[in-house]
Amino acid sequence: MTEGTASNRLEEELRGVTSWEGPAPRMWAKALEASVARRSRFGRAAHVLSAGLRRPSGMAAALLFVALCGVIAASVNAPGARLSRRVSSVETDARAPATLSGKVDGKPAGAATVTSAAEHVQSDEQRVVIRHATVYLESKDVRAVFARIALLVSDATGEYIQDSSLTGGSGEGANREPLAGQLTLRIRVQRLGDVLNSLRELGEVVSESSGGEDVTSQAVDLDARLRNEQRVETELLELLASRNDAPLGEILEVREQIARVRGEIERLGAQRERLTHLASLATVLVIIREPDGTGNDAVLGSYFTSRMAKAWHNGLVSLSDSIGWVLGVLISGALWWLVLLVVAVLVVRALRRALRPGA
Amino acid sequence: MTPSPDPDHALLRRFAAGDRGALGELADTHERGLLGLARGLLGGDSDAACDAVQSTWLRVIRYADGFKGNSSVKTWLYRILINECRDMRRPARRGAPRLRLARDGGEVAGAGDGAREWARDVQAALGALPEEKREIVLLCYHAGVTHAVAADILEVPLGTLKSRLHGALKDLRRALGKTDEEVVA
Repeated sequence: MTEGTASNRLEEELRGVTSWEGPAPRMWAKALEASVARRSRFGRAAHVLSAGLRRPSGMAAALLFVALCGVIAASVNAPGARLSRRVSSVETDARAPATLSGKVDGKPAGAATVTSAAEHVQSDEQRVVIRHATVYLESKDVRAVFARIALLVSDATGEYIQDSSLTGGSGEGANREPLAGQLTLRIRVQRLGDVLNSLRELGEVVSESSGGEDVTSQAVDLDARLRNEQRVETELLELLASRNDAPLGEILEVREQIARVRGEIERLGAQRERLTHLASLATVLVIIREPDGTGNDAVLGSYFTSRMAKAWHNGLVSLSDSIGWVLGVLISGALWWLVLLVVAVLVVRALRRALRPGA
Repeated sequence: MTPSPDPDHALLRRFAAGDRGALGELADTHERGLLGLARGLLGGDSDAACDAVQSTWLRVIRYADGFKGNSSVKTWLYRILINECRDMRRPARRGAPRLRLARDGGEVAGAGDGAREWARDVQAALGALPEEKREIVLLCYHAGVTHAVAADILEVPLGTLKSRLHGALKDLRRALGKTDEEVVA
């Protein structure tokens, strides 16, 4: 047998080493079962955790975890988070007014129901938020961007352009007035993210802001009042039915009350519907303008200067934000840092003892 | 010309979307290959190979929705498997040498003593190779894996892979030199 034959034999053997002759044992199915079982095994997780902590890498991971807790604690204590908690507590305290415009048999109808209804809706966290966003774009072709933004609105789903304007563009050279456009879009809340992403692709985003007005309290208030008026209406109708032998004057008075309550129901229903409509559509204000230097070489220097100034300003803002964040993390997470320090000292001591010759 | 879509990627997407059967279809294509390579990397231990492949599928299940498609699914699977095998070999490295010399069921029925001995010698020579070279040799001789794919899996340039493969084969032939003669005889 030649050397080449031996080489072929080696290659053949190597191919055989990594071949699987029998049927596949369906390890993927076992893995699927294991993944399902693993999710429910908290005990196993605890065991792995304790085993991992015995290793240096596990201990390092634990330290990292404590550090992360510090950062999270800092972010939870951040002013923004405190503000949102305050808002939340205010909302929780909100109560629908217990006053009713109508009385039946001299007692207020459904006063207790008002509070319970309000609490019910609040506990379900059915937040009603009116969302809005503002996007400031720069583009050399304002008209094209303007037209493309209009196409983002889907009329078929109830979206519409609330208002739009396109101004400027007259004059020549240095006297040319920059073209600027403005559109107010009303789009479905579910599409707000997509629409904002699409807008960002249409030009250079100079600034962008978004927010939301939480009108849950108003919605809860309206719902409760509506329910109470409906209850009063039912009770008045029952009264009318049960006292059909009453004097005509009293019957007319009750009818008048029913008419008034129905009017109130209509009014409250319309307000509630309007609120729902407002919350279902987000308002997006888009402002488009040409970049400062477009079509005007003479102002290129000032454009450059303004961009530099803007960059400098942005840099300073970022720097101050970063410093603020670091200080916030250090101060707000002070307790965790202390814990981290103690743990680190203990780990270093343990390591020194372990690494000591003869240990 | 647009590249043809990777059918494995489509299966993975289906699985990530909740279609469990898609994982089975993916496994039909790759599981035997993965098992073979794992067994080769783990010194012929079929049970360990099954464990490694199961761990690989576990990782696939866990990270399927995060797969970006920067490489082919096959490359991804093999990378995971190789890492699993490395992890499984690591504790053994600290203790006694564990590479087994016999490949389970690897012998062809009716093979003679000479052939069996040759297979054992090849296993022993492979076991003596450094991990990096052993991976290259086994991957490059694994069915369905081209040198380019192997280079992608191991994340090394193609030229580097070829030169390391050449060196590894040279080492293997040197280790088997005496055995070659016996086989020839």
